[in-house]
Amino acid sequence: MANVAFYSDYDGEFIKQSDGDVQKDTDVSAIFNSIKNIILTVQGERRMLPTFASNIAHLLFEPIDDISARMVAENLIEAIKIWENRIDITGFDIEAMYDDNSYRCRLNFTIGNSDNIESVKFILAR
Amino acid sequence: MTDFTPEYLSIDFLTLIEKFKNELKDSEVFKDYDFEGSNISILMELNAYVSELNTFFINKIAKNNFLETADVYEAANRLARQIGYESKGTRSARCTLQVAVSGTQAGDILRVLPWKQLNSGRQDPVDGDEILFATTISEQVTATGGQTFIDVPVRQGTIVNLTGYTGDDLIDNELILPTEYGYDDDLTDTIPSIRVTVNDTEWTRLSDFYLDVIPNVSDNVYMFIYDRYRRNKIVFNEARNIPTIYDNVDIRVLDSIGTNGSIGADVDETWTILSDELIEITRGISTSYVDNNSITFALSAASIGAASPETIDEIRFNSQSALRSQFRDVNAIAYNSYLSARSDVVKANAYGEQDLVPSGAGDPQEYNIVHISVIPEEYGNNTIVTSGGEFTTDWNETGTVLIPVRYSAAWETELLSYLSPRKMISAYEIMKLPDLVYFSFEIGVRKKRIYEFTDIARDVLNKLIYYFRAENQLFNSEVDFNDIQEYLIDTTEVSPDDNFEYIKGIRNLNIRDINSNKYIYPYDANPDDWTLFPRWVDQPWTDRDNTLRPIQLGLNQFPYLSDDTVKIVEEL
Repeated sequence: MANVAFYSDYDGEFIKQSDGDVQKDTDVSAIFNSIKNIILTVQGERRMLPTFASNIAHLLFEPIDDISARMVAENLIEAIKIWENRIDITGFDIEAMYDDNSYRCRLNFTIGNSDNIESVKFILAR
Repeated sequence: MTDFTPEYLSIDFLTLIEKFKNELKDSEVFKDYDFEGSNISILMELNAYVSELNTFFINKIAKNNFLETADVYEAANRLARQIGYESKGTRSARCTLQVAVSGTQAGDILRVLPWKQLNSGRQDPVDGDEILFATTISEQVTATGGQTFIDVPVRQGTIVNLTGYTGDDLIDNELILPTEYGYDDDLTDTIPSIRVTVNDTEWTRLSDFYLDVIPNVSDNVYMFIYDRYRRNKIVFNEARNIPTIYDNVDIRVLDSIGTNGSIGADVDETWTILSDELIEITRGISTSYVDNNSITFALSAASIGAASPETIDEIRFNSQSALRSQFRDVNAIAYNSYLSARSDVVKANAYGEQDLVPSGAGDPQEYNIVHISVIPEEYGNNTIVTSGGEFTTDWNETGTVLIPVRYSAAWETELLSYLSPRKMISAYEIMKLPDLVYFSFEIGVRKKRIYEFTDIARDVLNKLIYYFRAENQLFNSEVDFNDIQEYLIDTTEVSPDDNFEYIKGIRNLNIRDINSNKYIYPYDANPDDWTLFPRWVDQPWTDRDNTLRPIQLGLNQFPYLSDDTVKIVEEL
């Protein structure tokens, strides 16, 4: 029996499959797409959905310190909880990179009833 | 008429998203359409956004292809032109001044000069500026000696000279005038409101280059048009003459204030002359100017014809009416709208055989007769002469009422002359006196605790007075106490200058009784007898039924409020 995907989305990079069609991202990849969109979208950008995503854009222009890092983390966690209800966040690490003016982040989460902890790493910079 | 009403809201952004989601529900390919963060939802939104924009503009175009649904002035103007209607811009009030010149001798030739500015002495109700009028044509009389009277037609507006143009300023044979003025572009009137000279030779204004090919008119012609971009422009045509780049074009126009320029009749001689000279006098072989101090003015009839530029709704209504009626008064609406355009008429009604004998039996004596009743802006010797009467209510309040006695002969003639260009060939128009039906009310009010009864009673009376103002009423209407009661307690119903703020202090309001100065005929009166009005609209339930039933007025009957007999009592 073929492995039927629970979640499926098209690839945001529009990578072409061998049959010429756009590549499909399924399950974990589809959820990664969603998290990426939530992180990269600035509140107010989406039409008829002004509260979508987080409000971290202006925080990246604040002085880098532990307080700003905490606010960035809280904002992101809040946004992901609201807009991506397929996952349960099990951990969020954020580290201020003073020399690069950026934050190194790692989000740990589980999907649905699965015990597998998935992880996504990213760097937030202005 | 088409019932096509394009509506784009059924395919708006959110509806399209829902439709995409419904489509994707049946597909196994992309399942994340319901998650806002997914790529597929972004693609759906992009599609929906583009589709919504497309549908909005397609819808806009579709709507503006029909006069019934057009919502862009440019489109409404163009569509109206297609059915032969020229949308109107600002039109000035016009009136005829009675000018008296003293100290003349028999045989003197007096000539009122055109394009002279006069001050009416009245103020613009909006900005308080003086309302100016101007002569635009020359009037000449021969004096009989002593005081000589001249009737001088004048138009409202400040004279504006636009000079320095040449044929080089024409673009596509058109000269677009500065937009800062409200030009009077009335073409239907015989008194001109614009003067165009080319090298000091006056050219003739036409309504259409091709229809008005009159042998006696030279090819020195132009049109003055209020165009679809709300601009006034002077249009020349290659089939006739066009000023060359060496020709000087000078334009004299009236800057009009539209409806704000309407004035009523007066004999107070408030008029003054703003030009150095107004009247030229030729005595024997010598010509000079009459001293302005020897000239006095009187205005026996109110100005007429003032209007602001037509709105889209007005273009829609007027163009269709003009097309259907072929510029004739064919029904009561046409009569009312045409007569109400005068500043001295508030409301009008026209009725004939079918209204007078509604059962269809007919009345040969009424064939082709149009009965016309009007409510003037002001009663008096210049309009409708009235006598005073008294009216006592069941609750023993006595008030005065006006009883129309006769039309002023001059006003009646003026109204019939005003109507004559639009009269149907077979119609025979008769002015009928309006029959004023005065109503009075006994009203009980329960107030809210924190309000004063006197404040509430004052506002209830003021609101009732506003409700019964002639502008807000119609001939032949049905007076329904339910409507009046609902209107009185509705706090959103306000007048332009009074919010009736104490109406919100009413807990209950009941109209306890209605009285009228006229006998109200029973419901079962002969329906063919139009004299048996006012009349109850409903059958009473019992002999003891109260009188709070709707009352139908007759064809020439108009409702008035006897405000000094209204009784408002506080109920606890």
